[in-house]
Amino acid sequence: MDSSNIFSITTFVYGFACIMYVVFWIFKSKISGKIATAVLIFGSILNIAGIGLRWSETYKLGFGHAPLSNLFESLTFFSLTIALLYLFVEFKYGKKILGVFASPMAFLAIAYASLGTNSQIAPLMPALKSNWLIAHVLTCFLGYAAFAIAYGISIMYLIKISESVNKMSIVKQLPDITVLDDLTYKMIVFGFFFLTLGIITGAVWANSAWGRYWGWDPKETWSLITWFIYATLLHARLIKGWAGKKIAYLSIFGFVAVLFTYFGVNYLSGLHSYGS
Amino acid sequence: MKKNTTENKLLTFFSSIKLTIFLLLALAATSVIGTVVEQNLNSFEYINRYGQSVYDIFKLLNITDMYHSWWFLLLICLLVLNIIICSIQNLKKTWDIIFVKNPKFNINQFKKYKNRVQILSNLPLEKLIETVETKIIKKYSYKKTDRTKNGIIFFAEKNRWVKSGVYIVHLGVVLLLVGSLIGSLFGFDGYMNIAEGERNNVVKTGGSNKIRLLDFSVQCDKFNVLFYDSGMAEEYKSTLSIIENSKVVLKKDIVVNSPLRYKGINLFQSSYGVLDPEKIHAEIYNRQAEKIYEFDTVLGKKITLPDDMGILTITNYHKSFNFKGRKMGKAFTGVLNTADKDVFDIVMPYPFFEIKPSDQADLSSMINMLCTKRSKAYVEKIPVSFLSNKTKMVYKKIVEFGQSVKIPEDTGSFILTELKKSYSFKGHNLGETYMGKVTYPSGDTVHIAIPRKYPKFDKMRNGKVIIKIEDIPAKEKEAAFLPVISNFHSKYYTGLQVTKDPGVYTVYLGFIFIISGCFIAFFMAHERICIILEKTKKQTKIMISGKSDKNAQGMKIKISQFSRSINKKR
Repeated sequence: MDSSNIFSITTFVYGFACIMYVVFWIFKSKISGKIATAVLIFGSILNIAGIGLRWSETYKLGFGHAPLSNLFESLTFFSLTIALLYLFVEFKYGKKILGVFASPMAFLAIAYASLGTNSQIAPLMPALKSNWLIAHVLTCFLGYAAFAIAYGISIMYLIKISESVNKMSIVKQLPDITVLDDLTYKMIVFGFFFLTLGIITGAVWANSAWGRYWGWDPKETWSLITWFIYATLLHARLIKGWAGKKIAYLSIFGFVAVLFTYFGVNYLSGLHSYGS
Repeated sequence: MKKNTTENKLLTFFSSIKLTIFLLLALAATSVIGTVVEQNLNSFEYINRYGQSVYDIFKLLNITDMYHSWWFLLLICLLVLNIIICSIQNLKKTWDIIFVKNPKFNINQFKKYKNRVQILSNLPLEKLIETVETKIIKKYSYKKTDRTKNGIIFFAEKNRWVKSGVYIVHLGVVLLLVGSLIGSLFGFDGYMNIAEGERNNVVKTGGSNKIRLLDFSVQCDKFNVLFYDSGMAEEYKSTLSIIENSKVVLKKDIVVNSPLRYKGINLFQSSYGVLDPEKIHAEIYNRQAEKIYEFDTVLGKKITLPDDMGILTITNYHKSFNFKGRKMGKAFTGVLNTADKDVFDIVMPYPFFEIKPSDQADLSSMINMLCTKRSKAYVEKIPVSFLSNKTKMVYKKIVEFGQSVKIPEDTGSFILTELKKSYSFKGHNLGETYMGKVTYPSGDTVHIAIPRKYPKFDKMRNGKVIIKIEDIPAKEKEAAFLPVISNFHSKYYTGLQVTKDPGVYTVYLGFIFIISGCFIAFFMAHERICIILEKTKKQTKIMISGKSDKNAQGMKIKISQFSRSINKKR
């Protein structure tokens, strides 16, 4: 059993959790809700196990580095951060329905890793050999995960206020719009803090590896664009009092920027090419 | 009065949240351009990709270096102005809130909060007061008690100062930008290449061949690159010495993530390369004499071979040599002038197999393959063809170097001047190239180049007649011997990124402010609580209520915890 097998199993477990959340939502079945949470917890444990095993595999191959060095590894980690952060939100706020929109993102991330990327363990290139690697990737992905969940909640918000569907019983099931609005904001605050940390750790690292803390490399620039969008959202909300629909749209817009920072930049040339 | 109002208008404009939102979104939107249009290429590259007219627009708007363009910097300056004016305007208000000596508490407000808890307790009032004092309000920095007729009111509050969090963040952003300004005014960013064993203090900065001299010399004692089994680079390491007043003051190994810093100058490992070989050891097997000669040489040195074999010059070293369409790896090339005035072009692959004098046939074909004799004509007489654009006629002539020939159809004359070893056209090396001069009937002259690899090169001139040089197929004649390179030594050079950035500490201070400010502003809350104890006939009425400016949910939980702990007997 190697880590790739564990990640494949994790993919199925996450997929099953998604289905259970949807069953819980549509049939209002409490038992499937409980199963969904339990399965998602099990999935995250597998996910952690997979990452741990892969870490030890890198040592066996004689490289010995944290499994955060390429797209495959970052996606498996991304899916874990989404799952764990969502579970935290579920336990804190007790809104299981959010899982309908959050768990598919954990599933999609790891499914993309398993199917669409190269899972080979490669040694680290010289530029990545730094203690900043873990701090930088960890903070960035905590930020991305929070933005992903905020995006899910914003979609729920827009569904909830949409006049064409809001009379349907399954839409009425969704949490109250004030709750959704508040949670979007909270997730974005969390994400913004960690994105800021991620950009700063990246800058400090760049300064120690390349001699400049900022170089307008496409990945750097796109992370800053993302930061600008969420900064706009926070200012608009805290000072101008924007809420609801406008915030939901900005949150979705911000997440598109996150996705581009993560995936789209690989199509542009730059220093982060090892992310592909 | 009028002046005053315009001033006010300006202030309102620069402190408005609308401006903030506009600037943030504008910065986000314009930043995209620089990630799509690659920055700081040379003009030729842009024209090639986008065409002249688009390039003119790029130049006009500084798109090719947009993050340093006047309009992008203007946006950033406006944002800084916006931040500073906003902060100053609100600071007074916040200051008064943070540094108030006697905070006011309004009981009626606390009585209205939804999270308030009211319970009745059988415990004596004195006991309850003690619990509140020792267990609950202990954690609050500001406390106030009011005795009432039959009870007591406690007010407590903490983290009043978290209102400063937002100012700390914004101060951090300003520090960051000030730091980057200091860096761009007083710092520099350049590179230097140093060969192993050599020293240098010249840093090349910017694209326009600007240089800067360091106060000390950097010596590269050794460079080493390690590879993984897969061929991927594992580590680049330079051993550097800093030399000041001809003394070594510092010695350090640098790798990619571990630079050397000395007197505010940072040296980073950024690239490396291999210099042309020195000390080439070669051997020649002479078939007629059945002897092997060994000798040492360097690139370009003429070696007179014994036994009248001629003169050998090893001219070039190729990291990856393309031989008759095949990549053959490292190779040397050279010229052999034999005693009977034949000229051979010789390819010497490295490493080469061992010469076995017994394999005469193999050796023969090997010599045939690697040694190409130049025909006499190639050296002296060149067949040139003139293709008329008008009549489509082709005229062929044999031309000698320096001889002026008439171009047919009365379009001028042509002189073939020389054969250059290499010719650079728009940054590309086109290899061996014939150079010539065309004189038009009007007397105007134009210099033309015809690379051997591209006989139709002259087409680009758009002249009335295209001048074409047909390459002469070299006649095969066997060389008598084959030089083989048995080993050679070449030095590495290390490529160092050299930077000086006196603003970096200000930037890092900004980072610390931004992180801590964000933490304070987002995750710490200003909390105020109020506990009222009131004696009734038999029991004591307790009301607890509180307010947190951020974490309403947490406050609610806290209050219900307080209510439980207050009513405990112990």
